[in-house]
Amino acid sequence: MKRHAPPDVVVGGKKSNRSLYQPVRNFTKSIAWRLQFWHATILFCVVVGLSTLWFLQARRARLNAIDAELLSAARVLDGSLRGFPFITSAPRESSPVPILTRHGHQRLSLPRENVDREDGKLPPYLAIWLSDGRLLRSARVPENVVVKFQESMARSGFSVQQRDALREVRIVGPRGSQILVGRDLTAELGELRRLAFQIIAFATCISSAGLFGGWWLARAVLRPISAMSDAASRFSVADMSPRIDVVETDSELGELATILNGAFDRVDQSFDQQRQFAADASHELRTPLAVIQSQIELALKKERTSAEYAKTLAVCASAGDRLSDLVDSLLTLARLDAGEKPAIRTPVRLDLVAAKCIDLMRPLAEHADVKLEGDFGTAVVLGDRKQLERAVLNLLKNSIEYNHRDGSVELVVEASETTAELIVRDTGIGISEEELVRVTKRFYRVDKARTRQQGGSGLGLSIAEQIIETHGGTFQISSELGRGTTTSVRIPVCDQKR
Amino acid sequence: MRVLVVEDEAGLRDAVSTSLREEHYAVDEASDGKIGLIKAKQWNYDAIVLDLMLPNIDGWEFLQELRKSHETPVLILTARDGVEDRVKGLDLGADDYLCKPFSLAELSARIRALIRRANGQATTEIVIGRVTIDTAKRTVLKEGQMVDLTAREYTLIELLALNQGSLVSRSMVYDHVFDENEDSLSNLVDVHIYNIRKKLGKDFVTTRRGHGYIVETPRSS
Repeated sequence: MKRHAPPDVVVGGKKSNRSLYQPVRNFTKSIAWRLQFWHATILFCVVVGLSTLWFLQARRARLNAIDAELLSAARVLDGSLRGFPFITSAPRESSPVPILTRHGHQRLSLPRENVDREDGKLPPYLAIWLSDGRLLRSARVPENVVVKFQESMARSGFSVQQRDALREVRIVGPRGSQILVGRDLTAELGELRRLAFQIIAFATCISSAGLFGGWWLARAVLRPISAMSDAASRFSVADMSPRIDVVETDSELGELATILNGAFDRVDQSFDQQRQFAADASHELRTPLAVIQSQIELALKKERTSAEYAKTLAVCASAGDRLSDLVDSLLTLARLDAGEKPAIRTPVRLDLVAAKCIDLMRPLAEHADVKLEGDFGTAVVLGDRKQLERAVLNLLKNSIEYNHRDGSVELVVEASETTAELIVRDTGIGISEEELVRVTKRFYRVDKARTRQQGGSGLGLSIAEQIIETHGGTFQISSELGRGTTTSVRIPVCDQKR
Repeated sequence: MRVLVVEDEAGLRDAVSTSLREEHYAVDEASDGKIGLIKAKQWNYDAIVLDLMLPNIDGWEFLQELRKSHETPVLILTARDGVEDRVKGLDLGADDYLCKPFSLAELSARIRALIRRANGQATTEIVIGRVTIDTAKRTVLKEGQMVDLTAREYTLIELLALNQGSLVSRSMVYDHVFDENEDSLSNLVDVHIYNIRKKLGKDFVTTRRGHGYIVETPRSS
C-alpha cells in the first residue's frame, strides 16, 4: 500500500517544522511600541512637571528668605531713625538736609554681621530719604545703580522690587521718610541656576531609567506572548509536540499558556484517538478483505470441484457480510461522533422497544441455548426509536454471545419520576476489572476468538454508549468474572404534560 | 518442507494452508497462539506463518517465547501495517513481514526465500554433480533432462540437497516432509528413497544404516 506523506511536511527539502510566526511587521502598530510610546510620554510629562515645581518652590523659598532678611534690616533702620531730633521735631519748610554726625552714621548702619559676608555674597546696601524726597543717607549702593525716592507710597507696609540681579525692599519710615534696603543677588541666582541644572540632570537620569525599565518591562511582558505564538504556529498535524514553556504559573500569561497547553493536549489526544481508530478500522477491514482475496486467488489457481467452489463462495459471502456489518457500524459511529443529535425526537415507549428487541434476539438466544427473559414497566423517553433499538440490540447481543450454554439474559425496564432505567443482566462469562474500563473502547473485544467467529466487530458497546449519550443518558457496566455482567442505562423520561 | 500456519481467522488459515499444501509443503495449522506455540516448540518447522492478533497468546508474545529456544524462520502476516508494528515485529525476531490483504503467490515466494536463506542458500538453484535442483520451480534436472518426480520425492530431494554433505536422520525427514496428520511409523521414507535412487542414480543418496541418509558433496576432480 502506498502511503502519501502529509503534504505539509516537506517544503523545499527542509522540514517545515519551523515557526510560521513572524514578529509584527509594522513596528508602530506593535503593542510593544505603543506601550513604549505612552510610557515615555507620560514619564516625560511627569518628570518635567515635577522638576519645574521643584525649581519654582526652591526659588520662592530662597527669595522669601532674602525678602524677610531685607525687611528686618529695614525695620531696624526704621527704629534707629525714630531717635533723631530732625525726625522727632516738626519739620520745617525748606530746612536743609540734616548733616549726620559720625555717631548718626553709625546708628543708621546695618548690623555688622550683615556687612561681612563669608559666602561671597555681596552685603546689602541702603538708602534713606526724608519725606520730601531728599536723600538723607545712602551706603554701599553699587556704582551703576540709581536709587530713587518713590512718590505716592502707601503709608504702611512695604514693597519689594526686583531690578535685574538686585532685590530691594522699601518701607515708609517715620514722618514720611523712606527706607530702602537692597542686595545684589548674583550669587543666589547663580546658585538657583546650578540647582536648575542639577534638577535637569536628575530628571534626565530618572527619565532614562524609566524608559529603559519600560522597554525592559514591555519586552519581558511580550516575550512569553511571542513564545506562545511561536509554539502555537509550530503545532501542526505533522508535529503535535510543541508546548509553551510555562515559567510563572501564577501570572496571567502563565495561566493563558497553561490553558493553551491544555487545548493543545486535548487536540493531540483526540487526534491520537482518531488515528488509533483509523488504524483499528483499517485492521478490521483488512482481515475479511484478506480472506476474500486469498480464497479467490486459491480458487483461481487451478480447476476445482464444484464443492470446493461452493466452499470458497460461502467463506467469501460470510467475510462479505462481516465487511458490510463493519462498514455499517463504522458509519453509525462516524455519524454519532459528528455529534449528530437524534434526528427524530419523539416520545418513545422504551418498554415496547425492549419487547421488540427481545423478539428479534430470540432466534440467536435459542441458537446459543440462552434463556431470554423480559420484565417491562411503562417508560417513555424522548428520542429516536431506531437508534434506541440498535443500542438495546447491541447490549442483548453481547450478553447472549458472551454467555454459557443454559445461561440466561434478563432485560428489565423500569421508570421513576425522572428517569427510565433499562437493565441487561446476564449470567455470562463476565469481564475482569481491568478489562471493564476498556470494554467500551472501539474494537476492543473481551474474548477475541469468540467474537471473531461470531463476526463481532468490537464496536457494539461503543455504539450503544454513544447512542445513550446522545439521548442524554448514562451508561454503567458492572461485572464479576465468571458470574455475569449487568449493564444499566438511565435516560431522562419525557415530560408528557408538555 | 514443513510449515506452521498460526492464524485465528478460519477462512484465511484455510486459504493459506491449502495454497501451501498445493505447493507441496507439509502444513500444520493452529488457530490460536497457545496451540501454535506448543506446536512450534515441538517440531522443527522450516517456516512459521504468524498472525499478530491472536487469542490467548498474541503474536508478539509468541515470537518472544519462541525465540528463547528456536530459530525457526517466522513470517508475520498481519493487518497491522504501521511502521512501528513492522519494526517491532522484526526486532522481536521475525524474519519477514507481510501485510493483509496479500497475494498467496507473494506469500509462497517469501516462504521459499525464508527457507532458502535459513539453509544458507543464496539462489534458487542447487547443483550436485550432474543433478540440478530449482527450488523456485520445484524441478530437478539430471544431465539437463527434466526428471519426473512426485511432490513427496521432490520435497525429500530438496531436504537432502539443502543439507548436502551432512547426515539427514529419519526423524528429520519426518519433521520436514510430513505433516502432523501422517503416521511416522510407516516405511514411507524407504519407499521414497528407493524411488529417488531409481530416478537420479544409485549413488545420489547414501544410506547410513541406523542413522539416516546423506547426499555426499561430489569431490571436484
